[in-house]
Amino acid sequence: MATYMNIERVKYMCSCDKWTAFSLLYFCKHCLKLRCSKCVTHEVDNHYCPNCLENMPSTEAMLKKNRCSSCFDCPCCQHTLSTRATTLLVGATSPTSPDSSASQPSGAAEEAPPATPKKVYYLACGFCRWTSRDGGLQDQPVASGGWNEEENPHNQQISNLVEYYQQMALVEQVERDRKRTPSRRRALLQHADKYGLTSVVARHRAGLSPHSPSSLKKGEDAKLVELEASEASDDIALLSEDYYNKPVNLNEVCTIGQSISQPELQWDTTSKLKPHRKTLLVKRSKRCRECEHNLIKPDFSPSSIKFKIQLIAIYLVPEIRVVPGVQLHPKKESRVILTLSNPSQYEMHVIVLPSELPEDVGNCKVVLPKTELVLAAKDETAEFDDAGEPPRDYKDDPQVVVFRKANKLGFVVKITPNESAKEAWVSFMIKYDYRQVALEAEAPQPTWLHQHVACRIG
Amino acid sequence: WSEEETYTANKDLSTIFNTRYIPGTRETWNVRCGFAGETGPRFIIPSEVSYPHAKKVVKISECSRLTESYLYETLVDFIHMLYFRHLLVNPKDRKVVIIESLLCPSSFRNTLAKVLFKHYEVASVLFAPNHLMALFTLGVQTALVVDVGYTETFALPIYDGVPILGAWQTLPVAGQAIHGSIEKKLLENCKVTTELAENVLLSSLLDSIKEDVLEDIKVRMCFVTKMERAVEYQNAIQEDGSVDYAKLPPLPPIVDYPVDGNKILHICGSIRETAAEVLFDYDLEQQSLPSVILDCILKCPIDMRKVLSENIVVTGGTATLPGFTHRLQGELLRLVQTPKYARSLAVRRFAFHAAPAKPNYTSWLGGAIFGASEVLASRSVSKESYLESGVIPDWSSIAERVSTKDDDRPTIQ
Ligand SMILES: [Zn+2]
Ligand SMILES: [Zn+2]
Ligand SMILES: [Zn+2]
Ligand SMILES: [Zn+2]
Repeated sequence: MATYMNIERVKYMCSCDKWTAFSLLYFCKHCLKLRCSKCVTHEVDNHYCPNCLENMPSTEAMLKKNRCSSCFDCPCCQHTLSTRATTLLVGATSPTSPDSSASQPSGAAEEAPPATPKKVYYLACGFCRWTSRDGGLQDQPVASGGWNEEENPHNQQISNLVEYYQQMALVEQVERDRKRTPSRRRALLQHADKYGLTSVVARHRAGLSPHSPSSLKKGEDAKLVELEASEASDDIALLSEDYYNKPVNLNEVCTIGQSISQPELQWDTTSKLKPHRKTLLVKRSKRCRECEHNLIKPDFSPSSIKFKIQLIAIYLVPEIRVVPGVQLHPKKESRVILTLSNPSQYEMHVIVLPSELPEDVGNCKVVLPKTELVLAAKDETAEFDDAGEPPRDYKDDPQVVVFRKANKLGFVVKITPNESAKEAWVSFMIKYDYRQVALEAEAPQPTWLHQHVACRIG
Repeated sequence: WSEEETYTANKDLSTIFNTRYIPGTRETWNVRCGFAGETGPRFIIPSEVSYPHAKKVVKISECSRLTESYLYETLVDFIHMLYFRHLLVNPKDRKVVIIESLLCPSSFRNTLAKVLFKHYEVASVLFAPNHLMALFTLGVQTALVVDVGYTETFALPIYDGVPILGAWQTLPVAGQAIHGSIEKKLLENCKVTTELAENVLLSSLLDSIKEDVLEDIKVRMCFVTKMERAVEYQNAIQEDGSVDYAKLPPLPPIVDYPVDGNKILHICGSIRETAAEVLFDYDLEQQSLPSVILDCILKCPIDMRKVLSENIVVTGGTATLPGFTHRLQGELLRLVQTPKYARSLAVRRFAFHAAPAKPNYTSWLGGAIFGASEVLASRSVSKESYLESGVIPDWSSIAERVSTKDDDRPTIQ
């Protein structure tokens, strides 16, 4: 039906007063209200790699910077790299240069018969043909896990800075606490002692700047990081003459996208590009913001598309669709067929009422059915069983209900579109009896719920 | 649960991102995001949200010109993408550091705070000025920080950890101006080869060139030339504005640049070499990058000037252009000896710091270093105090000692 292809055609009003496509809504069984993706809390459930579909515990994922340890992306085009195996002959010719032409898949084989073959692996992009050899990486003797990632050359300096400022912060905190509560001074001093900071605090109080750790005597504060503050230099390197006379080969220069895809390294030439570990994805669970119950809880396994909890509106709230192909004429009444389907395993009663919204999206004059519509229960087995039981006679008014099929019916609304409007929208309210799914045989007590719906007819 | 909770409260996991948002720009800027205590941002991503259902891409800079609720909705979607597509952690109860430009309007900051506190229920937010953060990557307390960003250059001196707000200078010339200069020069005289014809003028085929193409040209083949050659280029311009090619130095090689899949631009060496000259254009009475730096130093008390000029930090993506710092130093030395500055400014040495980061994420790294320390909690706005007062203090400076008078603060015209 039309609404499959164009989900924006029928919108339901979420409990937060936003019109939202029906298929994107959740229904909280506990609050009995519709929830959209903005009125649920999203939570990271588990991390997985989209390529190898392995789960990774969240602590490990944090340590590995949310990257898979066995899958790599191409640094040129961000495609997934595949591992290729090749045979390398060790012993006779050039055992120490597996990165050069010696490792060509077949070339070396004829030249050196006495050598022993050895299997080596490299990474290759099936899309742009980049290989780990282009990045100057040696082939690895193991299929996975052998690839080391290049480190940020400033790692040590940055961790010194982090440690230094952490200590300064501690000093400051001790200072402040001491000022605030003089009675707790002793305890705090001990606390400071634990960090080897007492003398720094003393110096600070004596008016010495705490920011010049070089003024501290060596040995006195063994635990304190000696920070080498950056020295500004006026000796700036002159641009190499190559820029003025060497031709540029664009294939050797990284695009900005290639360069910032690895922010800490930001290569400028393509020959330095290194394979990039694949970024993990997460499965999310969603909670109702009001009652904090889970509305969506995905299955743990990354390859499974099932859910442990899945309270989406399609499964719980009657769905309206528009039967397409209606020709509307301004200021002329047309008959439009809407379908209504019952998602629940109990019979459902629906009453269609005029919209009660102060600011309405509907811009057509609409005549709604006056009678209550009764929907048959959804029976999943019936779909496969053509013979089935004969349908019950609902004694429908043929002027209102034009067809019936299992848990679905089509009903007529009469619409007179406005002349000026570009799109014809009708809005109305449905009142339906919602029943919680119960295990007992007898049907649970119904609750009458109201829901505003808007449809684009043309 | 308990283990989970202590983990989220762990300071190492506070998330840092910068909002290089500046009013008036229509463009997307790049947002860097990552975690405190790490050595670099995890991702550098454009500040836009794509909606595949509606087949549209919304730039944050564009929606901030419209209503507040539209900006709010877009920021909710953008931050959702940051946390669940990139950082892969729960935003709830997390500490957040936002590195912002001093020019960021408070309306934008307030909307962002509302999104973080009300929608994502983060534990605390710190808005930190990018200039000050750059110092944490160096371990120094005093520097003149020059941020050469996309739409503008912003110089701010910081003395002993305190920003000298009375001395800040901005110039609406930065990366975007270089793009404009490349576009102008290409349309003036660039030749193109297409399937149909060879060496036709580009201007006969196109009226404008896309921003991302210009940026790609800038990043992949342009550089900042040295003083002597820049002067030769200047001298080759004749009175009527045309260029006397005989007077030019030997030009760098032409680059053949494929574009749109069907054209090849023959980008002349002079374009590659002079694209960045807009930053140093000192001919007229106009401000330029070096004059802004000198003016900034001049506005500081006399006893600070020498130390500031000898502690310059350049941040921002434009500073990554090859030859940039060398040329800037040369221009400063030249300009300081011109009559305009020679008498009033006694400094003669300009020295530059090199941060342990690429210039396009220096202030992010400073935020990550700062965010890893215990100070974070005492300087941030907590969820409780936000929900009570409903406002973000206008300039939640991390330097508590600063006594900011309201009129000292940079304001937006
Ligand atoms: Zn909602
Ligand atoms: Zn994987
Ligand atoms: Zn590739
Ligand atoms: Zn609920």
